[in-house]
Amino acid sequence: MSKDDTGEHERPDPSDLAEMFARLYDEHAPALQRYLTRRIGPETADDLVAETFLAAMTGYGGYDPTQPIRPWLYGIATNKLRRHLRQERRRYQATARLAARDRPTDNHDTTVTDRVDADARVQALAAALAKLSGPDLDVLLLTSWAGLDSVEVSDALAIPVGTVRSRLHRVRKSLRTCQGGSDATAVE
Amino acid sequence: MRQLWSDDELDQALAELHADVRPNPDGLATARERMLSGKPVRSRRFRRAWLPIVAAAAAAALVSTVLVLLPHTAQPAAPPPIKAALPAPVPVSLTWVLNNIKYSDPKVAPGQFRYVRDQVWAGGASGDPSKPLTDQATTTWQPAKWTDQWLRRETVLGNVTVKTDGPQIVAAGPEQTFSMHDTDVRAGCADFDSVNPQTTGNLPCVDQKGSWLTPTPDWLASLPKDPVALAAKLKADTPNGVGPLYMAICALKTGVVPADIRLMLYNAVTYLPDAYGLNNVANLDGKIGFAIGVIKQGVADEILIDPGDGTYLGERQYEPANSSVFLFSAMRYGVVDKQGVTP
Repeated sequence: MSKDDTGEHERPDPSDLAEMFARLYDEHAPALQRYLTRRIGPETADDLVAETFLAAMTGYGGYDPTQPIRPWLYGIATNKLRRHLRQERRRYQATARLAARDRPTDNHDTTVTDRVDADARVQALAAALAKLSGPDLDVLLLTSWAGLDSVEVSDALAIPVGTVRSRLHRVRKSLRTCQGGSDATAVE
Repeated sequence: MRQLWSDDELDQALAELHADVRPNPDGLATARERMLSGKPVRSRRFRRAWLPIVAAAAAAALVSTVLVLLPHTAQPAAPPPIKAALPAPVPVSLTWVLNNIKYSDPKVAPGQFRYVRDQVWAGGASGDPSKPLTDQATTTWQPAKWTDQWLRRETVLGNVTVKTDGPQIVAAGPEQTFSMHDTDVRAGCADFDSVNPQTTGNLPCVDQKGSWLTPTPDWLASLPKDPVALAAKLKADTPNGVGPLYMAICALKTGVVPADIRLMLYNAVTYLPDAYGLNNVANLDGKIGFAIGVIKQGVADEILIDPGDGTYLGERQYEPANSSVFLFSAMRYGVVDKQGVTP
């Protein structure tokens, strides 16, 4: 498959479908694997990469070739990922616990203190993500980890772009104020 | 509750969270095979029950698709070349193995590249000897200076059914080759996972952390210098469910482990439970060397070693009781003047 002048993918002949997906895989699977690995862990991520491309191949007839391919693939992956929301939340909870366990207690060195603060934020973030809803996680992490813009997230999740932006604003605000997070960074 | 973080602090935390979780190094090739074959594939080395991931309806739909697709992606190749009869492996003591390995590293001048190719038959085995393994290769061109640009090329070559022939592992028939595009990634410091900082949140070289999967010079230098302590670290760092030599092999197959640490690592694995030594073991290329192996749950996991310079020659993972082969590989090394070329 090749891209036309607008950067969109042309619909291939059926006989080219396998070769097209081999190329699509080369182009998009590494980034998708890294994204899913961060969300769900390496083992399940590999399964979901395979499932995503299998579903893309079998469902290619329903794909609108005038649309960019990347949001379509991430949309499929997001649907697959939803079955594992509980597992994903457990990973964030585990990260929060591990980060708390590994954090040194007292250190007056500025560099170390900065590092400790950064680690505390990661811990609090992990705890907060464990409490977010699936759709909120999707908008936040498709943007931050997968690098999709609002329009692409809108295409991937099949929701209006305005909804994406307002949801992203709300989620980020809640994380900055730790409304959904742990008490690790809570202040009076 | 008042605001605690700025946007930048939130972005920094997002960039760091789970950024150190590395994808499985051969997960992409396995997933690709699964996509093209439509078959569920057990992850390499993980001896867990396979949970079917493809719904029956989807699988049924895919079968018809694959029947149409496969002729465009795979063709039977010529029969494998007939190799001279290989000598039979001979059990030897671990002490004998360790005492008969010489160690050296190649000289790579500025502007030259170390060529390291790892060809492996792996994945898709699920314990059934009639099921094919994926033939895949990962090649890296490594600059003389660590921070210069590296090239990694991943190639999926085909499917091959493998069997044990007495104590050796051989192809059971002609390989079904694939016509797929290579995947090239370029990165400084071999930091291939951080080539897209927007996705990973990591800056190449700057945020690089060494590990068994991605050994860096600093990380290698930090390893215990005592083989018992190194063996303890190996055991501590090995997740449940993976082969006992997995971490050591992950590091060795990168080709960046220097001679003094290879010596220490080979010594360390002899301290693992049920370790054994072999002489006259062939790798996938038919190159003969020593093996240090470990048997766990009936599965033999072996590191193959070139006694001439102590380089890692490849690995074998198989289940002697039923002749199943899970993994078989060969390393090739060289020094070249240009990336992308073969010695």
